[in-house]
Amino acid sequence: MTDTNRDDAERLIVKFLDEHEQPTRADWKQLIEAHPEHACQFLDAAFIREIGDAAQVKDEEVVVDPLIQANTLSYALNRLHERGSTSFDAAQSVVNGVKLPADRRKLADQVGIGSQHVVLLNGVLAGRTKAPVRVLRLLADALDVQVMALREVFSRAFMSTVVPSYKSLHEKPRIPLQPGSWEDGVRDLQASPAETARLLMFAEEEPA
Amino acid sequence: MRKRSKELEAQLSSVLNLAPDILLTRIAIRDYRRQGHIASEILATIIRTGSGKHTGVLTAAADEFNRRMVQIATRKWRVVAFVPKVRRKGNRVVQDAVHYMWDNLLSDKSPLSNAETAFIVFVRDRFEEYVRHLGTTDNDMTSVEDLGVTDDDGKKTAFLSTLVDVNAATPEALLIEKQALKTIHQTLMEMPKIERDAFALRTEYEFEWRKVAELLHCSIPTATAHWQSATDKLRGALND
Repeated sequence: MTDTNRDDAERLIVKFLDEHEQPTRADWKQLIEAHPEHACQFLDAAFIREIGDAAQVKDEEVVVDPLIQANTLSYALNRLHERGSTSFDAAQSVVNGVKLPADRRKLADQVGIGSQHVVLLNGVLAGRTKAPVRVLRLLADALDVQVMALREVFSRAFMSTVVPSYKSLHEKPRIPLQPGSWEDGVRDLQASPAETARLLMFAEEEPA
Repeated sequence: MRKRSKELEAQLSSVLNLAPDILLTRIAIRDYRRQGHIASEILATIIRTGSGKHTGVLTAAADEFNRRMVQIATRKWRVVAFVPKVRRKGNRVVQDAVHYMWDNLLSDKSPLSNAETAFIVFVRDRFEEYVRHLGTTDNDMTSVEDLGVTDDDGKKTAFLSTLVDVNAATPEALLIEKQALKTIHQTLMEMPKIERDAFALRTEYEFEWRKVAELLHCSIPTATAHWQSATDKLRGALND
């Protein structure tokens, strides 16, 4: 068996198990018939699945080896540091792409904020205004990115906001330590009462 | 396309609203029955999106997610520990399998990983992949229903009839069935792969002899001989 053959078989097995959470004998047989050249590998995979299913261990707390726990965690954190997050990078790239005023107005319309309130959207994209979950989800859908990655993009955008130099003779500088609330962002628009009420509704809890 | 369940989507929405310090407290809840417990799938999303990198949430999520993976991998390792190559590596298998799971999770470029929709399935599938890569599968799969014994008078008795009724609620009955299955698996493990494959293809999957021979790249008489040898060994082991 060559490495290529092994890889091909492995790919087919992964795909098969992805599509069949509880494969039956008939499912495995179909796979063998479709790809007879990998029959032996499929038989092995089926056996491993069977002995796992046949010897179900009770759902009880298992005492893990603390050294294994420590080694695997160290491995994971190193990998996280090395690789970063593809979801975050993808979301960041998409948000960075929404630069032009026309693009932002279009996005504001898409999520229902309205292009006339693009300033509110600007605050969200810069991380200055905390978007409610509903707005986050609408933006994630419109931009086709993971909602949690998007939230992280806004969070890091806020944290990397440059703190302006400040010179005051009469009072201390006010530097926001966290993003402003959605409500504050809406009220700062000084829109009509109807529009204000409409925008504030975005912050209401979604039905379960 | 993978999708989260409604319950997971609801939990994701609630997590999005949580301040980092609250989220850290929730991540530390290990008992899944306790209110506030964060599902492993949500932890996977936190990790894959790099969420909370600067607030400690990402590290805490990775720690707890890792703990859960190690726990399940340890459990699965014990199940396959009798496989020769797994036995030789000892509990190192657990560590290496979990490393493999992390590599898979962090290199997955799909919008939604299996770990974010079905964590248990993700861990099971990755563990099995790892064991396959070890080349431990000298084994064959067999079906309990297809095994049988032949008495001295030539009368064939189906395997299951030789056991205590497995639908009986007695622990003893279940133990006997479990022991028998273990014997079958161990016997299959010890025989040459060609015999195991012959047995599975003919007995389990009910392929015609011509097809069995074709899949094993041998003649029909040879395939039959392998099958017979496997059957004799299994019968011997069960009769012991």
